[in-house]
Amino acid sequence: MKKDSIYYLKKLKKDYLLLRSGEILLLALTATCLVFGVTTAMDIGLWASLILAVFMGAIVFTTAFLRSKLHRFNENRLTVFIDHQYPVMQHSTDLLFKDAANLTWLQQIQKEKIRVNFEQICSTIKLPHHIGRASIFLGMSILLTSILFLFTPETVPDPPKKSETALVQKTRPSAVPASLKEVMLNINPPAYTGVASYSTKGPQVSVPEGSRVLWQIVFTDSVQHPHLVFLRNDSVELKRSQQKYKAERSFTESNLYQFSWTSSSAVARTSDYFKVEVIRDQPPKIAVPQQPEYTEISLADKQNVLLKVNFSDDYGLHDAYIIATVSKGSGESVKFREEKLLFTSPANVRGRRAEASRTIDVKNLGLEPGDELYFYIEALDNKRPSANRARTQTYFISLRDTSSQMLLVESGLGVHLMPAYFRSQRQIIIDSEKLLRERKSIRSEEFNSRSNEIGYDQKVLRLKYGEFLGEEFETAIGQEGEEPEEEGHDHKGAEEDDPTEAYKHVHDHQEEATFLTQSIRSKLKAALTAMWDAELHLRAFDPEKSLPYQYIALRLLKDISNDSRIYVHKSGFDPPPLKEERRLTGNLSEIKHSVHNQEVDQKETYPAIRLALGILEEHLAHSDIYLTVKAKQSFLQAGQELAALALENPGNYLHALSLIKSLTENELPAEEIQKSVLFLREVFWQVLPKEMASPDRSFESIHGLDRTFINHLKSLKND
Amino acid sequence: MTDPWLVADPLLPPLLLYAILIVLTLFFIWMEWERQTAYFFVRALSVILLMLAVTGFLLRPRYQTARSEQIVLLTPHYNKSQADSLLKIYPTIKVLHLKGSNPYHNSVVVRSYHNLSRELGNIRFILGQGLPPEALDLFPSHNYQFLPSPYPNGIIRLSIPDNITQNRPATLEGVFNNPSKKAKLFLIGPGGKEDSVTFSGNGFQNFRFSFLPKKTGRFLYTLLSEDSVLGKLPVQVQEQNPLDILFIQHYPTFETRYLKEFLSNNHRLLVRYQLSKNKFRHESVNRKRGSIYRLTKESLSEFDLVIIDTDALRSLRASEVNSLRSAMYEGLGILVFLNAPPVITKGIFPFAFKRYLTDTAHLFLNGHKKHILPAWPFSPVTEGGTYTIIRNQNRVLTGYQYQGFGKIGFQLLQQTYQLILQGDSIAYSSLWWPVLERLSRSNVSASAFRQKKSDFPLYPDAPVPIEIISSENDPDVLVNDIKIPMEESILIDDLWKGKFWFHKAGWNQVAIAGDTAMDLYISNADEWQSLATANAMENTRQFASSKPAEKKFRDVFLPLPPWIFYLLFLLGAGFLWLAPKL
Repeated sequence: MKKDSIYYLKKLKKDYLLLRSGEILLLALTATCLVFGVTTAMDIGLWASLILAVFMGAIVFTTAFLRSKLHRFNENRLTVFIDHQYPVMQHSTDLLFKDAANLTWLQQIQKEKIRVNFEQICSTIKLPHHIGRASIFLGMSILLTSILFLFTPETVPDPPKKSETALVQKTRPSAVPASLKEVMLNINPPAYTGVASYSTKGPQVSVPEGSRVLWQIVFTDSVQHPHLVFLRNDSVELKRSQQKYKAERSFTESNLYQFSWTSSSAVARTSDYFKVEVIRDQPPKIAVPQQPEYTEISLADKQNVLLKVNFSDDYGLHDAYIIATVSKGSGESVKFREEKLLFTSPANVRGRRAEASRTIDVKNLGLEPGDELYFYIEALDNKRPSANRARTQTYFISLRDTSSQMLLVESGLGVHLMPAYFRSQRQIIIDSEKLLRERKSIRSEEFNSRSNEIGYDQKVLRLKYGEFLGEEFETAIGQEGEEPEEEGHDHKGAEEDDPTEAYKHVHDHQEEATFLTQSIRSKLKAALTAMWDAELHLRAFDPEKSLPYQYIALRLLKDISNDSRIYVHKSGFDPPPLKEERRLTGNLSEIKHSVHNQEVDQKETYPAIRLALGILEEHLAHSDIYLTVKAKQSFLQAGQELAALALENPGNYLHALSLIKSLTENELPAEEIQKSVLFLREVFWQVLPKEMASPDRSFESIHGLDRTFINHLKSLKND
Repeated sequence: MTDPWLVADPLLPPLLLYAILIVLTLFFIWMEWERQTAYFFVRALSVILLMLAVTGFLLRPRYQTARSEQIVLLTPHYNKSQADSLLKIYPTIKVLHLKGSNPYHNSVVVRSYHNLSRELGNIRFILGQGLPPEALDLFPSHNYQFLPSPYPNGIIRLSIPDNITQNRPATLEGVFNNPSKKAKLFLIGPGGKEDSVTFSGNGFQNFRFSFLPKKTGRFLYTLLSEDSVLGKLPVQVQEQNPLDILFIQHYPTFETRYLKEFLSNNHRLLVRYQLSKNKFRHESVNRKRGSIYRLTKESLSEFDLVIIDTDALRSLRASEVNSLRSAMYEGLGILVFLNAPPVITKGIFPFAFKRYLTDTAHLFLNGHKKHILPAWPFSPVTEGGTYTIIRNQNRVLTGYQYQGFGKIGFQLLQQTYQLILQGDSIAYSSLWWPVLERLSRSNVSASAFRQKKSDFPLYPDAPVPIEIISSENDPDVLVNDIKIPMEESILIDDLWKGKFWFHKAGWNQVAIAGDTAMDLYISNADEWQSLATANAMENTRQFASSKPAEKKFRDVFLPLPPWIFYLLFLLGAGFLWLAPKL
């Protein structure tokens, strides 16, 4: 029994220590919880608030523990407490802890006595503690913290909107796929360029035309079926050799490409679009600095023409020569002979830059007076397989013909423009000379009258040539002073300084309104001036003074006629021979009904872009941007169409292309989706061209009353 | 004012009350008699007076009087001085104000229009910005007068074109009230900025945007001012429907060849040239191989438009001309090309021409670019009934007349293919599409919507009226595939009305089952506020009565003021207290 009471006391002590420690711990937890709640509400960061809270909890725990002096708790304090609380123990509880051997007999009696008492009260002993209160505190603090959490505004990054999270969650692949680690390109330009092969890092490259490009690619992870995908569904497989994947392709025109592969988690992936820009091999440049377009030499001149030509090319010249054509004869008997002339120094034109010359001996080529030589220079560069060609304009050399004089205009212009009553300038000269010869034999009135008549002929001829020059508002032949009526134009009486002139319909300026080239026109103008002067003197009955002008006019007209012999290569249409026996018989027996059918391919421009635009618009209207597999497919097709455009304007649509790619592969962060969709919509819309509007079928609903009304109207009309 | 008429509102049953009061009065008079003091009669009178006062307290009599039962409804931004003047004229009128408008003294707030429904019939005046259509619908009869406040600042009118078609420039017009100085408005389309306007004046400012829809479908354009988004603008670009066109040509010309090429992209064509007197060459484009050797009403019924030249028209037999005429009366369109100076051709061609000075025409096609085209030197002698399609400053170049349900037109312009040769195919198309579209047979459908674009904007949870014309007995109208009940108009045959409430902003489809469909856009509640207010004002004004409100009264019973009885009681009791002291 004695042991029991000691055991019970010890248990009491242990329980007390446990309860008090628990109480202190709960208080510390309360503090931790509160501090955490408050600091989180103040938004100082999760870790900071956690650390603060734990620190606070530790402080509270330590303080409370030290204040309660639990570490110094011993039997004495327990016995004092029991003595105070329970008078039946008669202030002798301490005796229970003491060994009987060390007690006086009085103490032993007392001990026995209170031991009995202790056994009676021991089950009722309650040591003071506040564990209940502490639990309530903790509960309240937890409640308070939760309330704080409930009302704290979400300051941590906004959770993505429902649709966007759906998109992200639904489609983001679980494993991070492999991506490109290193892209190395070796470029081998064609041998003829003389450019050494070189290599670059990075997928975009500019290469000379005809280069072979070798890709060497390292992926971050293992991949399957890697390909290079070019425009128009053209692709090249990347073959593995050691760690690298390799592929090769040659380029004659610019292209866009992307990498496509299947990652180890069986997700098909594609990269952005990259550009391979082809630098074209330019055709050779030829400069003939000293040669005028038209050279006229007379028989008396030195009949050699020295031709100096400068050549240049971006990679090198291969050949250059002169193509000369000699034209002889006139009218319908014009003959052409073509010859290829080589340069004399140097004989072979090579290298990037070259200067070549040749003396053209006109006589050697068989030119006779009145004949013409046309030539041009052609150069070839060293491009393989087919060289680039370049040629100059055609140059003319003519040998002046001073011998024959003939009717002028017909020979030059293909159309017979000269009415029968015209006298030619030659005839006027003959008439004038004849008049001068007969001067002495005729009366002066007759002389004057004939001189005047010749003057009139001169005027008619001048007017006729004036028409070539576009002088349509000059006095017309036979109806002097009457302006031709201007038909079809609403403008009236436009004044010279009228500021609104720019907005009116004004006729072509006569200076420009002719069929003739600039050089011929100036000659013709000079001829007309000479004719004016000739006419003036004829009208003044002074044919002598008039004659020099008439000769000037004749020479100029002759020149014009030579000028206007235009060299035309053989061309045209050979009509099938007519069957003379059937011509004009009026037999229609072989003409039959005929029925034809035609299907016009009613293709829209950019169908995939149109489709994708519709999808984008629909998504924007519903502010939900989840792309179905089908939608992605049409986006990819739109991308193909856009890529074709990007090739024509390199660099214009690359950003849009990479956005399409990121959108279809769900690589865009949720907050950027809306922006990208708007950008794509804009690009797609701008791509669509302005097209012809077409009539549409109109729809209307006719009310029964309208129908009756119109029917009645019709019957009224018929009556 | 009628004479007052007293009624009682007793606290106790009247008989019991009378009995008690009479007994008490007699008892008090007897007590006064017992006192044997002077002034008995005066005291008895005082007792009676006293008891009458008590009777008054207990019976609570009410008198009849006439009161005005008319109501003034104050809506937001009403003019206070107008309300003051009204109250001066109608001092007894009842004043209500809407939630959101300033209260007036003694005015009662109306929290919802349904609370108002019992009193709607009595509303005689509405002040301010008026009521939305859903509230106006609740009125049993619209006998009110509307005293509007000034229009709100911002866009107050906007007309979205009814038919927007691909590749044709469309315009959007509207009125802006009181723009700030040099304010700018932008129209943003799918491809970015489409157009903008800058205002220079004050007050009502008209504005006009133009844009080119490049694709069919539903689009949301945005109207922006410099600092804010005014709202989203629904634009529905319609799908195009192909036409069936028959060309009857005496011989092929460049004009018809280019026209054929232009039309072959979207339409079904049959072209007939004459090879010899009875031999023809037929070309079918986008339709099955076919031929027409003889024009009959049946063969012509397949086509929407016949393009015929005058030589071919002249060489038709009389029966063929008759078929052409009766097909035209049924709706066929005919466009006549002139081969030679116009002469009367067998009566079917109703136009007369007079000589005209010039044989060219100056035209502005497709905006500001001027084109000069050859034209016949004639101008039509315009009678009533000739409608113009193309004209320049001086004369009508293309016109048509109605003949029954069909139309017949003429074209004085020649060699319009020059435009294509010049590379301006857009101008060519803008010259030809109106001509061909106006002349072609229009498809007559049994039902059609009569949705007014002035209804824009529509908002969620507000009633959207849907009106259709349908000759069917019971047309099915589906809103987003939900059938809604329709009610036929009592006054107009075949006119059906219904109503629907949309719950969410966005596009919605309204369809007449087995017939047409229409897309309706419901705007967000915070967009187009000024426009909606202006629409409400306009609606309220439309329903308002033009007659001045009559003064109208109703009999009411008002309690007699109790102080009268208190005074009587005081008199009676006072004398009884005073009498012994006299």
